Amino acid sequence: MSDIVVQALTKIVGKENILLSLEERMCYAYDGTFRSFLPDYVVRPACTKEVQEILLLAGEHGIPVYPRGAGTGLSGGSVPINGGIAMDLIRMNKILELDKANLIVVVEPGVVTAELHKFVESHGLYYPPDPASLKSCTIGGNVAEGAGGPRAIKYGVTRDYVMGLEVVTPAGNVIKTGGRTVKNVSGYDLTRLMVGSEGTLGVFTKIILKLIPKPEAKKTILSIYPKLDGAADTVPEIINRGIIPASLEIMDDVAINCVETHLHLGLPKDAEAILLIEVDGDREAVERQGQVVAEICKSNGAMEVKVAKDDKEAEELWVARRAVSAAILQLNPTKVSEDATVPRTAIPEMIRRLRKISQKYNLPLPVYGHAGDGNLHPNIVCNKRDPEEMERVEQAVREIFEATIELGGTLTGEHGIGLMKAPFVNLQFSPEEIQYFREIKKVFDPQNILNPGKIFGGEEHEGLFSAAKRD
Amino acid sequence: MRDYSQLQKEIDHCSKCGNCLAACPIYGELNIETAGSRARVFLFSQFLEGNLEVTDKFAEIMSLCLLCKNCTATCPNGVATDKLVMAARREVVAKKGLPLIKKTIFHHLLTHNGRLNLAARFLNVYQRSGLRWLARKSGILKVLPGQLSEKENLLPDMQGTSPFRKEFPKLNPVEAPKKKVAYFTGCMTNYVFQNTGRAVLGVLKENEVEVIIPDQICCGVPAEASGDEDTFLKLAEKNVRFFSEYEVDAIITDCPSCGLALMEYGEKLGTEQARKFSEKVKDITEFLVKDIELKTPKGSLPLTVTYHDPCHAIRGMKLQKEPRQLLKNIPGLELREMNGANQCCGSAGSFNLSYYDLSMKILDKKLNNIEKTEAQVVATACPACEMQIGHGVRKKNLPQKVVHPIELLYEAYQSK
Repeated sequence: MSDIVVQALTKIVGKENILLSLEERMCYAYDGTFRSFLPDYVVRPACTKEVQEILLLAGEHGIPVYPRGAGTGLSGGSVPINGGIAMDLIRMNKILELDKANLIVVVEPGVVTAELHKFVESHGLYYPPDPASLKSCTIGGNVAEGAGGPRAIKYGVTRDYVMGLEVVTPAGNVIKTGGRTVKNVSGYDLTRLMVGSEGTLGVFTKIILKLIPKPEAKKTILSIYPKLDGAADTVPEIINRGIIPASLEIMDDVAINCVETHLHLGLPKDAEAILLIEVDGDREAVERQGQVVAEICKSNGAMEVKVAKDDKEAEELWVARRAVSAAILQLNPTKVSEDATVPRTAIPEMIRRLRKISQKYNLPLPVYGHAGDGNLHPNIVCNKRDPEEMERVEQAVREIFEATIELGGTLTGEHGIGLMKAPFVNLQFSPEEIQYFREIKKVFDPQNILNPGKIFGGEEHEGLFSAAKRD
Repeated sequence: MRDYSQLQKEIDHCSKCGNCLAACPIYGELNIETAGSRARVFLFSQFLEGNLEVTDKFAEIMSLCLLCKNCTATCPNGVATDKLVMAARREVVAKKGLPLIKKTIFHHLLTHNGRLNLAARFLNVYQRSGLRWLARKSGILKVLPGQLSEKENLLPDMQGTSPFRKEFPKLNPVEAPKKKVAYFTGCMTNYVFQNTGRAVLGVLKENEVEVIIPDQICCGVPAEASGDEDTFLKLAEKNVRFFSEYEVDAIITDCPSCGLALMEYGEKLGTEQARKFSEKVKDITEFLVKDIELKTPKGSLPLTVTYHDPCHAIRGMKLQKEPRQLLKNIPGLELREMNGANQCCGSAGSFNLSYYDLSMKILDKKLNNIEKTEAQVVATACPACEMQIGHGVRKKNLPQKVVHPIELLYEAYQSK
């Protein structure tokens, strides 16, 4: 901590909005992963100008800056691994403009995703991306990490809704990307480059989002299978019948058992898989599609098919799926959450390989996720205080990624590479490809001050898992 | 350091997913990570690991918690943050001692009924003699520091000139009793909301239940919530002793904060006698709805009523249906649900005194939801919530009356 820097930061954001005590800084050391790193300063800017001044100051002193929203990320994307400045953007939480005729909303990065949902839906509009943490997470974080969610199969992910951005670059320039038109091919598509850049290329201060009309109705179906294959066969059949569900979620037996032990919902513990399927659209179409889906589930050997009669029942069917991510912590305290994604037809094979990996390394590995778009969430549940076990975890993670790539998939569907997957990027990208990444990073951030240590593998990531004991 | 292995399990179950942020009323107002529940979990874990000491900042962060349990209810793993916060507050007291004002109250007032009675008498005189009128009128309250003038308004008019327990005998027999209960009145009913106590007795008499009002003392919650475990245990031990003199079917309370504390005496004192005591504890609404055949009033009470769920009722004693069932049992009464009925009103014991502005912001949300129902009455089965919401209603000049649901039932019985 340097007095000069503290003084300068205080001048920019005001005394109220710089946090220096150990206790407060500790609160900015973590995200939703199991690693934590203490920042030297926490600053909470309120406007573009303050963000710009902070970055200029950081550049001048060569201090790393780690931008963040609510800190709910699952890749370590925002944790300050080299100390420096944690830049908290949640004070910038205004919805700036709703343009109903052009189906556009302009927001600041700190707007909570669920708040945006509530706001646009009260105007009969819809912003589909729905990451699981939507009640707490922010749009800025969603854009930075390229967040997805269950609705991706039909509606796509955050990337598909970002039309334009105001970005403060690490060099302190305020630039605008994209715009407000559906068609826009002027120049390079910097908007797409920025989405999913994980806070390494710039800090978003304004976000222009595309909206769609809110679907009139939805129907939720929960289908329980004695055999995994039945669930696996259901997925392509629904799609081949011309129905694209709004979401299509899967939970495997380990995940089902965790949820049942925790919540006592009456789920059969001998079931091998559960599918949660939601169709939406016009009221009549939804009724008909709901029936077709239920029939398909039954004909593929489902032991139980529940169709929600109303919104309240639909919410009840979602309880198990929503609870699973944390319920699996009953097995062990540390969760290594992956989001390896494969083409949807490869899901059964992927799940079989995950089971083998689980056995080989003797690690519990519940699987759940978005079966409709191939985005699985294999979770290794372990104990970070046990370095030997964490080494096995790291090897298992590597094998999960190897299997993913072999099956034509990608390391991450919606969490980002961040810190936790950085050691594995070379499994997906060639040295030349990574070199292009590095060159792009250099153009925007020649001093490497913005979120350094993320995405690209390097020496600093050795022992990333086993060193967790120290946190 | 004491054995924290049980609490370590709570910490281990926190994945830092951040679901709790959206559930925390304080985070909702302050919009800063340090005010969220997972921050408190993480800081306490760092304290246990030896990476953090008890400092003023640590104490401040731990004091900014309503103990409303909403984070626990929202947490997919049910991490009991309130337990961690109370443990942290104990550590603060162990290292820094209690603030003088709390020490005075806990050690000299709560532990001595006589002194508490005396203090109540002074207050009563102040409220009734014209002294308060003079104080408010003269503007003398305005010169008091720290918004004392507004805080003074938190305490409503006391509903009796003497403590409730002096108003009634210990034994209140009925002919051919169907059940026999011991009544833990709590301090609020004893000194401020005597009408609640009168209604409890009236309703039980109407339903042919014999009521004993044993000697008793503060339940200890104010001390425990502030980290003064010694005082809490002393009070708990006394209450168990007082109540164990009587053989009853149930021990009833009209305050869920007291109720929850009483239910946990067994675990915290660890004696057989305390466990037996705790097993019998029930909220009055639960007792009436579940343990006896509650008589339907003959008269009707044509009122629209909205119900506020006290934190320690809905998430502590797990009472949601019972008070509503009790209200629905009243002919003519229309129960109209408000939005966010289960959200904290911001009272949280003395939180509204320590953090008045913040508490009022949380209360404002509640008042807005109440207003939207256009109900005539707000019912809430907790004297502390009743005080807080009553304060807000008076301040904003809202038309609603704020009462304990038992009072409505009693009124209905009387209007036959």
